[in-house]
Amino acid sequence: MNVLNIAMKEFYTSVKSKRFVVILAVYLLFVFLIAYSIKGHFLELTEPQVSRTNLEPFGAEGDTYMTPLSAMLLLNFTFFTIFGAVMGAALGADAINKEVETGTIKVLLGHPVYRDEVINGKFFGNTLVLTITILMGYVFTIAFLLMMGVPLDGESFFRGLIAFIITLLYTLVFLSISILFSTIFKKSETSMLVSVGTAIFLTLIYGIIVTLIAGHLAGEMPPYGTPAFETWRENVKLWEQRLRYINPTYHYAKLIILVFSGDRITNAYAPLSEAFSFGFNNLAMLLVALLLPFAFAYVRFMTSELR
Amino acid sequence: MYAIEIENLTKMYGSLKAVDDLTLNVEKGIVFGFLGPNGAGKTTTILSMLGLIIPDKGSIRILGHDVLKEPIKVKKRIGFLPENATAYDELTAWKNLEFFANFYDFSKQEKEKRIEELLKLVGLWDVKYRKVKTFSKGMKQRLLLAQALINDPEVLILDEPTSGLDPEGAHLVKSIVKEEREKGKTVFFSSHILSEVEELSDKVGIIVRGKLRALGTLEEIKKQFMELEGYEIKVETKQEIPEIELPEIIRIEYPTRNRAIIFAKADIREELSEFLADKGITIVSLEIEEPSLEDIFLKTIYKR
Repeated sequence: MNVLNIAMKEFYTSVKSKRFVVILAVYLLFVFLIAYSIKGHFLELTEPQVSRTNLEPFGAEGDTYMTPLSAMLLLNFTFFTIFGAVMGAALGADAINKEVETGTIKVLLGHPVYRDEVINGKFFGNTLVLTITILMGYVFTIAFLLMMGVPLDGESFFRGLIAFIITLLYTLVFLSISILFSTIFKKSETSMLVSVGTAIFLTLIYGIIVTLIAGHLAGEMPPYGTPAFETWRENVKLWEQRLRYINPTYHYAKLIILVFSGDRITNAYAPLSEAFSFGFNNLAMLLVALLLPFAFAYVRFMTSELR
Repeated sequence: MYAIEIENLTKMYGSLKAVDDLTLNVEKGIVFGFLGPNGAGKTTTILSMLGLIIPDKGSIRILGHDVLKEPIKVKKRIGFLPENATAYDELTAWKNLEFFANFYDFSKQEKEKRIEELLKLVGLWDVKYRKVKTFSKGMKQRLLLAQALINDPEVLILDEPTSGLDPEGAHLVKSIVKEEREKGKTVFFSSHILSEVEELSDKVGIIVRGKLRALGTLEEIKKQFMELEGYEIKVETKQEIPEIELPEIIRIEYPTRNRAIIFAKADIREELSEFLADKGITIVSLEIEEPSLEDIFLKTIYKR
């Protein structure tokens, strides 16, 4: 009950904050701009087909089944790779330290509330905010396509809902990381900077750095066209894959492609069971990336002194 | 049974002993003033009472419950106003109190009634739907006081409750403390404002550099102080005062021919009147000069 009370307070203050309104407005504007700029393409896409989707910056690629709805949702969720990470990070970055700074934590803990209820309440409250944001993007996308007169298919709609859950999980990873930072740094400005910086680094910069580091780790490049060069290139790819494995963005991008994966032979969606058997490790890694920082944040907050 | 029992409380911050082996009992139904200069260990003691700080040694029991082992049982029965804190800025005064009231077993009607009572009590009823961020410091402090009273607590713990308040706000806090005492509640409040402690407290504790230097009612503390520091007796006579020779006397000052200020090791008023009567001197006035709380406080602070 206490967790719900704190979660609802957190949700209420978040959605009424200027920060949330601006973030939501920017997100919906981008979704609209993306949809508007490629509306012609959707209208031409009368025959759904399997095509190669390459999310190069995040290191994920695969065959996806392109219906107007799946193509639009893929774009939407790809945009959310960066946007969702930043939003998750921004929401949790001052969850704990701002309460300590302003002294509200002392007021709150003067009431019959356990500390774990405070951190759980904050997490669930912000989870609700993220759920609503992603859901709004999803509904907005469908509404836009309906207004354009683009036919929608049930399978894409259903897979979009699965992608929605994965997207929520992904944003929660960054929420969890930023809550950890809010228990580490005393000043909320510092934790905000570090959290958003981490989100931008992992989504935009890490992919570039990985390529550079992998090349370095694979050793000196042999002359082009030689068998040694092929082995070196394989080595580079292996290192890239290893390095990307610690980045939640890679796992998310991989899972999104798998959710919409297509079969070239049947020219249809690949069975979901198959997609998930391929993506099981990615899902497990996302869960670890969510739970590990939260566990550390939990321990820090539970054992810290609130002076 | 005591309302608050603190036993051998010790808290270190690095090599600094913020609270040093503090033992203190507060009886039920009294107002206890916890006096000390800045950095004396008042807030550390109070935060330890709330379980927000884990002591290195010692234990605290409130209304018979150990604060670390049974924190929820304790917090259900106490109210707490922290120092340098604020309510939630983004919420209105009403929403703030509603949020805190939700932690207790109130029905909807009871909750609304209690919030209304408290907002009226602290003079914020007219601004109940205004966001706290638009409030002045005094209004925020009054709202904090209201949240501390939301569960009608048996023990009210106030850390520097009048800090930053204008005279009207300070008067309101003091009248609420007095009201709580009349209702039989226990109030434990820290302050460095001597007049406030003197006015409100049934019992006083003076803490300096983490150690409890004085404890008791104001009368007891004054007596302890005089026994330690000496008694100051003022005497005025009709005739000229003769040379007074009594064993307890430390020194005598004669501001005029018929007035004397006597510094003695004990209360020698009886012996003095007998001595003067034997000499045929008529006494106009004979009174003991009681030290003020300020005298005691300042001497306690500077005593090594």
